Amino acid sequence: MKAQTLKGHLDGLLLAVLADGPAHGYSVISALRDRSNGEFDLPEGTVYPALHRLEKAGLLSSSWSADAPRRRRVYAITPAGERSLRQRRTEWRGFTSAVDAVLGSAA
Amino acid sequence: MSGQRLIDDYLGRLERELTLPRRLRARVLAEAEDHLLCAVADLVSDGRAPVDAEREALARHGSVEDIAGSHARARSTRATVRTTTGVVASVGSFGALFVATTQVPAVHAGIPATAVTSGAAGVMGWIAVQLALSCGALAVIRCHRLRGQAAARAGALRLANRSASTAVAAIALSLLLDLAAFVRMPAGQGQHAALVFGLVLLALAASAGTVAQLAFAQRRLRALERYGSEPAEEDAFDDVCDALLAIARMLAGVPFIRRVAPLAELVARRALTAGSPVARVLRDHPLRFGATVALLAGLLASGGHLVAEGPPSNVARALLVVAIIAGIEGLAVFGCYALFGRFLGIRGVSRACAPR
Repeated sequence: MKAQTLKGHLDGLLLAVLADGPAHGYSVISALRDRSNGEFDLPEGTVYPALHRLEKAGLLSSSWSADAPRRRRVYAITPAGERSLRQRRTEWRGFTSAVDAVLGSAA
Repeated sequence: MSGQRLIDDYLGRLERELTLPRRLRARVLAEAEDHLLCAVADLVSDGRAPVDAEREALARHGSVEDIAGSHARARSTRATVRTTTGVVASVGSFGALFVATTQVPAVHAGIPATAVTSGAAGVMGWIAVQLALSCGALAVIRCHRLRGQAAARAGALRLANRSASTAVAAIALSLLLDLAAFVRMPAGQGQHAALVFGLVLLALAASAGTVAQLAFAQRRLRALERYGSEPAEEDAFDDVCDALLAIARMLAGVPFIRRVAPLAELVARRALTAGSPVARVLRDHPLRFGATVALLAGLLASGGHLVAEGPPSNVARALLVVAIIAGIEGLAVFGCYALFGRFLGIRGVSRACAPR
Protein backbone atom coordinates (compact mmCIF):
# COMPACT_ATOMS: atom_id res chain seq x y z
CA MET A 1 0.00 0.00 0.00
CA LYS A 2 1.37 3.40 -0.95
CA ALA A 3 2.42 5.86 1.77
CA GLN A 4 -0.06 8.40 0.33
CA THR A 5 -2.97 6.00 1.01
CA LEU A 6 -1.90 5.67 4.62
CA LYS A 7 -1.80 9.45 5.07
CA GLY A 8 -4.30 10.44 7.74
CA HIS A 9 -4.43 6.94 9.24
CA LEU A 10 -0.82 6.48 10.30
CA ASP A 11 -1.25 8.18 13.69
CA GLY A 12 -4.16 5.89 14.60
CA LEU A 13 -2.27 2.80 13.43
CA LEU A 14 0.78 3.70 15.52
CA LEU A 15 -1.40 4.32 18.59
CA ALA A 16 -3.13 0.96 18.04
CA VAL A 17 0.19 -0.89 17.89
CA LEU A 18 1.46 0.84 21.04
CA ALA A 19 -1.81 0.16 22.89
CA ASP A 20 -0.52 -3.45 23.21
CA GLY A 21 2.47 -2.25 25.22
CA PRO A 22 5.61 -0.09 25.04
CA ALA A 23 7.91 -0.75 22.10
CA HIS A 24 10.86 0.78 20.27
CA GLY A 25 10.60 2.18 16.75
CA TYR A 26 11.72 -0.93 14.90
CA SER A 27 9.25 -3.24 16.67
CA VAL A 28 6.40 -0.73 16.13
CA ILE A 29 7.12 -0.70 12.39
CA SER A 30 7.56 -4.51 12.27
CA ALA A 31 4.25 -4.97 14.10
CA LEU A 32 2.57 -2.59 11.66
CA ARG A 33 3.89 -4.62 8.71
CA ASP A 34 3.13 -8.03 10.27
CA ARG A 35 -0.39 -7.13 11.46
CA SER A 36 -1.23 -5.78 7.99
CA ASN A 37 0.21 -8.92 6.31
CA GLY A 38 2.85 -6.77 4.65
CA GLU A 39 0.32 -4.30 3.17
CA PHE A 40 1.62 -1.31 5.16
CA ASP A 41 5.10 -1.26 3.71
CA LEU A 42 6.19 2.37 3.77
CA PRO A 43 9.73 3.84 3.99
CA GLU A 44 10.44 2.83 7.59
CA GLY A 45 12.49 5.92 8.46
CA THR A 46 9.55 8.20 7.71
CA VAL A 47 7.55 6.67 10.60
CA TYR A 48 9.85 8.27 13.20
CA PRO A 49 8.70 11.87 12.55
CA ALA A 50 5.14 10.60 13.15
CA LEU A 51 6.21 9.03 16.47
CA HIS A 52 7.93 12.30 17.46
CA ARG A 53 4.85 14.28 16.52
CA LEU A 54 2.55 12.04 18.56
CA GLU A 55 4.91 12.46 21.50
CA LYS A 56 4.84 16.27 21.10
CA ALA A 57 1.04 16.09 21.05
CA GLY A 58 1.10 14.21 24.37
CA LEU A 59 -0.36 11.02 22.90
CA LEU A 60 2.87 9.06 23.40
CA SER A 61 5.71 9.22 25.88
CA SER A 62 9.23 7.98 25.28
CA SER A 63 12.45 7.30 27.15
CA TRP A 64 15.88 5.80 26.49
CA SER A 65 15.94 2.12 27.39
CA ALA A 66 18.65 1.09 29.85
CA ASP A 67 18.61 -2.64 29.08
CA ALA A 68 19.29 -2.46 25.33
CA PRO A 69 22.70 -3.25 23.78
CA ARG A 70 22.77 0.30 22.34
CA ARG A 71 20.85 3.58 22.72
CA ARG A 72 17.21 2.73 22.08
CA ARG A 73 14.12 4.95 22.42
CA VAL A 74 11.05 3.15 23.77
CA TYR A 75 7.59 4.59 23.14
CA ALA A 76 4.47 4.08 25.26
CA ILE A 77 0.90 5.25 24.84
CA THR A 78 -0.35 7.89 27.32
CA PRO A 79 -3.89 8.16 28.75
CA ALA A 80 -4.54 10.96 26.24
CA GLY A 81 -3.31 8.63 23.50
CA GLU A 82 -5.71 5.92 24.65
CA ARG A 83 -8.62 8.38 24.54
CA SER A 84 -7.57 9.51 21.08
CA LEU A 85 -7.33 5.88 19.93
CA ARG A 86 -10.86 5.13 21.22
CA GLN A 87 -12.18 8.14 19.34
CA ARG A 88 -10.34 7.19 16.14
CA ARG A 89 -11.71 3.62 16.37
CA THR A 90 -15.29 4.90 16.71
CA GLU A 91 -14.83 7.27 13.75
CA TRP A 92 -13.25 4.51 11.66
CA ARG A 93 -16.10 2.06 12.39
CA GLY A 94 -18.65 4.70 11.40
CA PHE A 95 -16.73 5.46 8.21
CA THR A 96 -16.20 1.82 7.17
CA SER A 97 -19.83 0.87 7.83
CA ALA A 98 -20.94 3.85 5.69
CA VAL A 99 -18.56 2.87 2.87
CA ASP A 100 -19.66 -0.75 3.24
CA ALA A 101 -23.28 0.26 2.94
CA VAL A 102 -22.55 1.93 -0.39
CA LEU A 103 -19.95 -0.40 -1.89
CA GLY A 104 -21.52 -3.56 -0.53
CA SER A 105 -24.89 -2.87 -2.18
CA ALA A 106 -23.41 -3.28 -5.68
CA ALA A 107 -22.54 -6.94 -5.01
CA MET B 1 31.68 -1.39 0.21
CA SER B 2 31.34 -3.68 3.26
CA GLY B 3 28.10 -3.90 5.24
CA GLN B 4 28.86 -1.84 8.35
CA ARG B 5 30.49 0.79 6.16
CA LEU B 6 27.26 1.03 4.15
CA ILE B 7 25.30 1.85 7.32
CA ASP B 8 28.00 4.26 8.58
CA ASP B 9 28.03 6.03 5.22
CA TYR B 10 24.22 6.25 5.24
CA LEU B 11 24.16 7.66 8.78
CA GLY B 12 26.89 10.17 7.87
CA ARG B 13 24.85 11.41 4.90
CA LEU B 14 21.71 11.54 7.03
CA GLU B 15 23.51 13.62 9.67
CA ARG B 16 24.61 16.12 7.02
CA GLU B 17 21.15 16.28 5.48
CA LEU B 18 19.07 16.77 8.66
CA THR B 19 18.19 20.38 9.43
CA LEU B 20 17.39 19.80 13.12
CA PRO B 21 18.76 21.11 16.44
CA ARG B 22 21.78 19.14 17.67
CA ARG B 23 19.91 17.19 20.39
CA LEU B 24 17.08 16.12 18.14
CA ARG B 25 19.51 15.26 15.35
CA ALA B 26 21.44 12.99 17.76
CA ARG B 27 18.17 11.28 18.73
CA VAL B 28 17.12 10.76 15.10
CA LEU B 29 20.54 9.29 14.27
CA ALA B 30 20.53 6.98 17.33
CA GLU B 31 17.04 5.75 16.42
CA ALA B 32 18.04 5.22 12.77
CA GLU B 33 21.17 3.28 13.78
CA ASP B 34 19.22 1.06 16.21
CA HIS B 35 16.53 0.50 13.59
CA LEU B 36 19.01 -0.47 10.87
CA LEU B 37 20.98 -2.83 13.13
CA CYS B 38 17.74 -4.53 14.31
CA ALA B 39 16.61 -4.91 10.68
CA VAL B 40 19.97 -6.38 9.64
CA ALA B 41 19.91 -8.86 12.57
CA ASP B 42 16.37 -9.98 11.59
CA LEU B 43 17.28 -10.40 7.90
CA VAL B 44 20.47 -12.32 8.72
CA SER B 45 18.50 -14.64 11.03
CA ASP B 46 16.15 -15.23 8.04
CA GLY B 47 19.16 -16.50 6.08
CA ARG B 48 20.36 -13.43 4.14
CA ALA B 49 24.05 -12.74 3.64
CA PRO B 50 25.16 -9.82 5.91
CA VAL B 51 25.93 -7.45 3.02
CA ASP B 52 22.58 -8.19 1.31
CA ALA B 53 20.80 -7.77 4.65
CA GLU B 54 22.36 -4.34 5.14
CA ARG B 55 21.49 -3.25 1.60
CA GLU B 56 17.87 -4.35 2.10
CA ALA B 57 17.63 -2.70 5.52
CA LEU B 58 18.85 0.60 4.03
CA ALA B 59 16.43 0.33 1.10
CA ARG B 60 13.50 -0.28 3.47
CA HIS B 61 14.51 2.60 5.72
CA GLY B 62 14.15 5.05 2.83
CA SER B 63 16.43 7.55 1.14
CA VAL B 64 18.31 10.12 3.21
CA GLU B 65 16.36 12.87 1.41
CA ASP B 66 13.00 11.22 2.24
CA ILE B 67 13.86 10.94 5.94
CA ALA B 68 15.25 14.49 6.22
CA GLY B 69 12.29 15.80 4.19
CA SER B 70 9.70 14.14 6.44
CA HIS B 71 11.35 15.62 9.57
CA ALA B 72 11.54 19.05 7.90
CA ARG B 73 7.86 18.85 6.90
CA ALA B 74 6.68 17.96 10.41
CA ARG B 75 8.78 20.72 12.01
CA SER B 76 7.77 23.33 9.47
CA THR B 77 4.07 22.53 10.02
CA ARG B 78 4.47 22.87 13.80
CA ALA B 79 6.33 26.18 13.44
CA THR B 80 3.60 27.66 11.22
CA VAL B 81 0.81 26.41 13.51
CA ARG B 82 2.57 28.09 16.45
CA THR B 83 2.21 31.49 14.73
CA THR B 84 -1.56 31.26 15.35
CA THR B 85 -1.03 32.41 18.96
CA GLY B 86 0.92 35.46 17.82
CA VAL B 87 -1.57 36.37 15.11
CA VAL B 88 -4.52 36.06 17.52
CA ALA B 89 -2.67 38.21 20.12
CA SER B 90 -1.67 40.87 17.55
CA VAL B 91 -5.06 41.09 15.84
CA GLY B 92 -6.89 40.87 19.20
CA SER B 93 -4.95 43.70 20.84
CA PHE B 94 -5.13 45.76 17.65
CA GLY B 95 -8.88 45.13 17.46
CA ALA B 96 -9.24 46.25 21.11
CA LEU B 97 -7.40 49.47 20.27
CA PHE B 98 -9.57 50.04 17.21
CA VAL B 99 -12.81 49.42 19.12
CA ALA B 100 -11.72 51.59 22.06
CA THR B 101 -10.73 54.55 19.89
CA THR B 102 -13.65 54.45 17.46
CA GLN B 103 -16.58 52.78 19.20
CA VAL B 104 -16.28 53.88 22.85
CA PRO B 105 -17.64 57.45 22.83
CA ALA B 106 -15.90 58.47 26.08
CA VAL B 107 -12.48 57.40 24.76
CA HIS B 108 -13.19 58.78 21.30
CA ALA B 109 -14.19 62.16 22.72
CA GLY B 110 -11.16 62.19 25.04
CA ILE B 111 -8.66 62.03 22.20
CA PRO B 112 -7.77 65.50 20.89
CA ALA B 113 -7.97 66.22 17.19
CA THR B 114 -4.17 66.46 17.03
CA ALA B 115 -3.95 62.75 17.87
CA VAL B 116 -6.30 61.68 15.11
CA THR B 117 -4.67 60.76 11.84
CA SER B 118 -6.30 62.63 9.01
CA GLY B 119 -5.94 63.16 5.28
CA ALA B 120 -3.85 60.61 3.35
CA ALA B 121 -2.49 59.15 6.62
CA GLY B 122 -6.05 58.68 7.86
CA VAL B 123 -7.09 56.85 4.68
CA MET B 124 -3.95 54.70 4.82
CA GLY B 125 -4.66 53.90 8.46
CA TRP B 126 -8.27 52.93 7.64
CA ILE B 127 -7.12 50.64 4.79
CA ALA B 128 -4.43 49.15 7.05
CA VAL B 129 -7.06 48.35 9.71
CA GLN B 130 -9.19 46.45 7.21
CA LEU B 131 -6.20 44.69 5.68
CA ALA B 132 -4.95 43.68 9.13
CA LEU B 133 -8.30 42.30 10.25
CA SER B 134 -9.03 40.40 7.02
CA CYS B 135 -5.51 38.96 6.67
CA GLY B 136 -5.48 38.15 10.39
CA ALA B 137 -8.73 36.20 10.00
CA LEU B 138 -7.31 34.46 6.91
CA ALA B 139 -4.11 33.53 8.79
CA VAL B 140 -6.05 32.16 11.76
CA ILE B 141 -8.32 30.07 9.49
CA ARG B 142 -5.33 28.66 7.60
CA CYS B 143 -3.26 27.95 10.71
CA HIS B 144 -6.30 26.36 12.37
CA ARG B 145 -6.73 24.10 9.34
CA LEU B 146 -3.05 23.09 9.55
CA ARG B 147 -3.49 22.23 13.23
CA GLY B 148 -5.27 19.02 12.27
CA GLN B 149 -2.58 18.01 9.76
CA ALA B 150 0.45 15.92 10.57
CA ALA B 151 2.67 17.35 7.86
CA ALA B 152 1.30 20.02 5.57
CA ARG B 153 2.34 20.89 2.03
CA ALA B 154 4.91 23.65 1.61
CA GLY B 155 2.41 25.71 -0.45
CA ALA B 156 -0.16 25.68 2.38
CA LEU B 157 2.49 26.72 4.93
CA ARG B 158 3.72 29.49 2.63
CA LEU B 159 0.22 30.94 2.21
CA ALA B 160 -0.47 30.78 5.97
CA ASN B 161 2.81 32.61 6.65
CA ARG B 162 2.08 35.19 3.96
CA SER B 163 -1.36 36.03 5.35
CA ALA B 164 0.08 36.34 8.88
CA SER B 165 2.97 38.53 7.62
CA THR B 166 0.60 40.83 5.71
CA ALA B 167 -1.64 41.17 8.78
CA VAL B 168 1.30 42.08 11.00
CA ALA B 169 2.73 44.51 8.42
CA ALA B 170 -0.66 46.26 8.16
CA ILE B 171 -0.98 46.39 11.97
CA ALA B 172 2.54 47.84 12.25
CA LEU B 173 1.77 50.51 9.63
CA SER B 174 -1.43 51.54 11.38
CA LEU B 175 0.22 51.59 14.82
CA LEU B 176 3.12 53.66 13.56
CA LEU B 177 0.66 56.22 12.17
CA ASP B 178 -1.11 56.26 15.56
CA LEU B 179 2.18 56.63 17.42
CA ALA B 180 3.26 59.50 15.16
CA ALA B 181 -0.03 61.25 15.91
CA PHE B 182 0.47 60.77 19.66
CA VAL B 183 4.01 62.10 19.51
CA ARG B 184 2.68 65.29 17.92
CA MET B 185 0.05 65.64 20.67
CA PRO B 186 0.82 68.40 23.25
CA ALA B 187 1.54 67.06 26.76
CA GLY B 188 -1.40 66.97 29.17
CA GLN B 189 -4.05 66.70 26.46
CA GLY B 190 -6.43 63.81 26.07
CA GLN B 191 -8.19 62.16 29.03
CA HIS B 192 -7.67 58.67 27.71
CA ALA B 193 -4.33 59.17 26.01
CA ALA B 194 -2.57 56.86 28.48
CA LEU B 195 -5.09 54.05 27.84
CA VAL B 196 -4.79 54.40 24.08
CA PHE B 197 -1.00 54.71 24.25
CA GLY B 198 -0.89 51.52 26.41
CA LEU B 199 -3.05 49.64 23.90
CA VAL B 200 -0.76 50.80 21.08
CA LEU B 201 2.29 49.50 22.96
CA LEU B 202 0.51 46.21 23.74
CA ALA B 203 -0.37 45.69 20.09
CA LEU B 204 3.21 46.60 19.09
CA ALA B 205 4.61 44.05 21.58
CA ALA B 206 2.24 41.34 20.31
CA SER B 207 3.20 42.17 16.73
CA ALA B 208 6.92 41.96 17.59
CA GLY B 209 6.30 38.50 19.10
CA THR B 210 4.45 37.43 15.96
CA VAL B 211 7.29 38.69 13.76
CA ALA B 212 9.71 36.50 15.76
CA GLN B 213 7.43 33.46 15.35
CA LEU B 214 7.04 34.18 11.64
CA ALA B 215 10.80 34.47 11.14
CA PHE B 216 11.19 31.07 12.83
CA ALA B 217 8.43 29.52 10.69
CA GLN B 218 9.96 31.03 7.55
CA ARG B 219 13.35 29.48 8.36
CA ARG B 220 11.72 26.08 8.84
CA LEU B 221 9.86 26.53 5.55
CA ARG B 222 13.08 27.27 3.67
CA ALA B 223 14.54 24.02 5.07
CA LEU B 224 11.44 22.15 3.85
CA GLU B 225 11.58 23.71 0.38
CA ARG B 226 14.91 21.96 -0.26
CA TYR B 227 12.91 18.71 -0.51
CA GLY B 228 10.07 19.94 -2.67
CA SER B 229 7.56 22.73 -2.80
CA GLU B 230 4.16 21.23 -3.51
CA PRO B 231 1.30 23.69 -4.00
CA ALA B 232 -1.46 23.96 -1.41
CA GLU B 233 -4.46 21.70 -1.91
CA GLU B 234 -6.92 24.23 -0.52
CA ASP B 235 -7.92 27.50 -2.19
CA ALA B 236 -9.98 30.64 -1.48
CA PHE B 237 -13.20 28.61 -1.62
CA ASP B 238 -11.94 26.34 1.16
CA ASP B 239 -10.95 29.43 3.17
CA VAL B 240 -14.49 30.80 2.83
CA CYS B 241 -16.02 27.42 3.78
CA ASP B 242 -13.76 27.10 6.84
CA ALA B 243 -14.49 30.70 7.89
CA LEU B 244 -18.25 30.16 7.64
CA LEU B 245 -17.97 26.88 9.52
CA ALA B 246 -16.04 28.58 12.33
CA ILE B 247 -18.62 31.40 12.49
CA ALA B 248 -21.47 28.84 12.51
CA ARG B 249 -19.85 26.98 15.43
CA MET B 250 -19.53 30.23 17.37
CA LEU B 251 -23.11 31.28 16.64
CA ALA B 252 -24.53 27.86 17.51
CA GLY B 253 -24.12 28.79 21.18
CA VAL B 254 -26.17 32.00 20.90
CA PRO B 255 -29.76 31.34 22.14
CA PHE B 256 -31.84 33.09 19.44
CA ILE B 257 -29.61 32.14 16.53
CA ARG B 258 -29.53 28.48 17.62
CA ARG B 259 -33.17 28.13 16.51
CA VAL B 260 -32.47 29.13 12.92
CA ALA B 261 -29.13 27.29 12.79
CA PRO B 262 -30.44 24.22 10.87
CA LEU B 263 -31.95 26.43 8.16
CA ALA B 264 -28.79 28.54 7.92
CA GLU B 265 -26.74 25.36 7.69
CA LEU B 266 -28.93 24.03 4.88
CA VAL B 267 -28.59 27.29 2.90
CA ALA B 268 -24.83 27.39 3.53
CA ARG B 269 -24.39 23.77 2.43
CA ARG B 270 -26.28 24.44 -0.81
CA ALA B 271 -24.24 27.61 -1.47
CA LEU B 272 -20.94 25.99 -0.62
CA THR B 273 -21.07 22.77 -2.61
CA ALA B 274 -18.24 22.45 -5.13
CA GLY B 275 -20.49 23.06 -8.18
CA SER B 276 -22.47 25.97 -6.71
CA PRO B 277 -22.39 29.50 -8.22
CA VAL B 278 -20.44 30.71 -5.14
CA ALA B 279 -17.73 28.12 -5.79
CA ARG B 280 -17.65 28.89 -9.53
CA VAL B 281 -17.28 32.65 -8.99
CA LEU B 282 -14.59 32.14 -6.35
CA ARG B 283 -12.58 29.65 -8.36
CA ASP B 284 -13.12 30.71 -11.98
CA HIS B 285 -13.90 34.43 -11.80
CA PRO B 286 -11.78 35.85 -8.98
CA LEU B 287 -12.07 39.45 -10.21
CA ARG B 288 -15.89 39.22 -10.08
CA PHE B 289 -15.53 37.94 -6.54
CA GLY B 290 -13.21 40.86 -5.69
CA ALA B 291 -15.64 43.35 -7.23
CA THR B 292 -18.60 41.86 -5.29
CA VAL B 293 -16.70 41.99 -1.99
CA ALA B 294 -15.59 45.57 -2.75
CA LEU B 295 -19.19 46.62 -3.51
CA LEU B 296 -20.51 45.00 -0.33
CA ALA B 297 -17.72 46.59 1.74
CA GLY B 298 -18.49 49.97 0.20
CA LEU B 299 -22.23 49.70 0.95
CA LEU B 300 -21.47 48.53 4.49
CA ALA B 301 -19.07 51.43 5.10
CA SER B 302 -21.51 54.03 3.75
CA GLY B 303 -24.39 52.48 5.73
CA GLY B 304 -22.26 52.58 8.87
CA HIS B 305 -21.41 56.22 8.22
CA LEU B 306 -25.08 57.17 7.78
CA VAL B 307 -26.04 55.39 11.02
CA ALA B 308 -23.19 56.99 12.97
CA GLU B 309 -23.63 60.53 11.64
CA GLY B 310 -27.41 60.53 11.26
CA PRO B 311 -29.35 60.84 7.98
CA PRO B 312 -28.47 63.83 5.72
CA SER B 313 -31.01 66.63 5.13
CA ASN B 314 -32.27 65.30 1.78
CA VAL B 315 -32.22 62.18 -0.42
CA ALA B 316 -29.86 63.67 -3.01
CA ARG B 317 -27.31 64.45 -0.31
CA ALA B 318 -27.70 60.97 1.18
CA LEU B 319 -27.11 59.37 -2.24
CA LEU B 320 -24.05 61.57 -2.77
CA VAL B 321 -22.60 60.54 0.62
CA VAL B 322 -23.28 56.86 -0.12
CA ALA B 323 -21.72 57.15 -3.58
CA ILE B 324 -18.57 58.89 -2.30
CA ILE B 325 -17.96 56.56 0.68
CA ALA B 326 -18.93 53.39 -1.17
CA GLY B 327 -16.73 54.46 -4.11
CA ILE B 328 -13.66 55.16 -1.97
CA GLU B 329 -14.11 52.03 0.16
CA GLY B 330 -14.89 49.84 -2.86
CA LEU B 331 -11.85 51.12 -4.75
CA ALA B 332 -9.63 50.55 -1.72
CA VAL B 333 -10.89 46.98 -1.21
CA PHE B 334 -10.67 46.11 -4.90
CA GLY B 335 -7.20 47.68 -5.11
CA CYS B 336 -5.98 45.62 -2.16
CA TYR B 337 -7.53 42.47 -3.66
CA ALA B 338 -5.86 43.13 -7.02
CA LEU B 339 -2.55 43.99 -5.36
CA PHE B 340 -2.29 41.29 -2.69
CA GLY B 341 -4.75 38.63 -3.98
CA ARG B 342 -2.22 36.42 -5.76
CA PHE B 343 0.37 36.81 -3.02
CA LEU B 344 -2.18 35.71 -0.43
CA GLY B 345 -3.56 32.88 -2.59
CA ILE B 346 -7.11 34.28 -2.76
CA ARG B 347 -7.02 35.42 -6.41
CA GLY B 348 -6.30 32.32 -8.48
CA VAL B 349 -4.28 29.74 -6.59
CA SER B 350 -2.23 28.45 -9.50
CA ARG B 351 0.55 31.03 -9.45
CA ALA B 352 0.46 31.86 -5.74
CA CYS B 353 1.00 28.27 -4.67
CA ALA B 354 2.95 26.90 -7.60
CA PRO B 355 6.35 25.40 -6.93
CA ARG B 356 9.22 27.68 -7.69
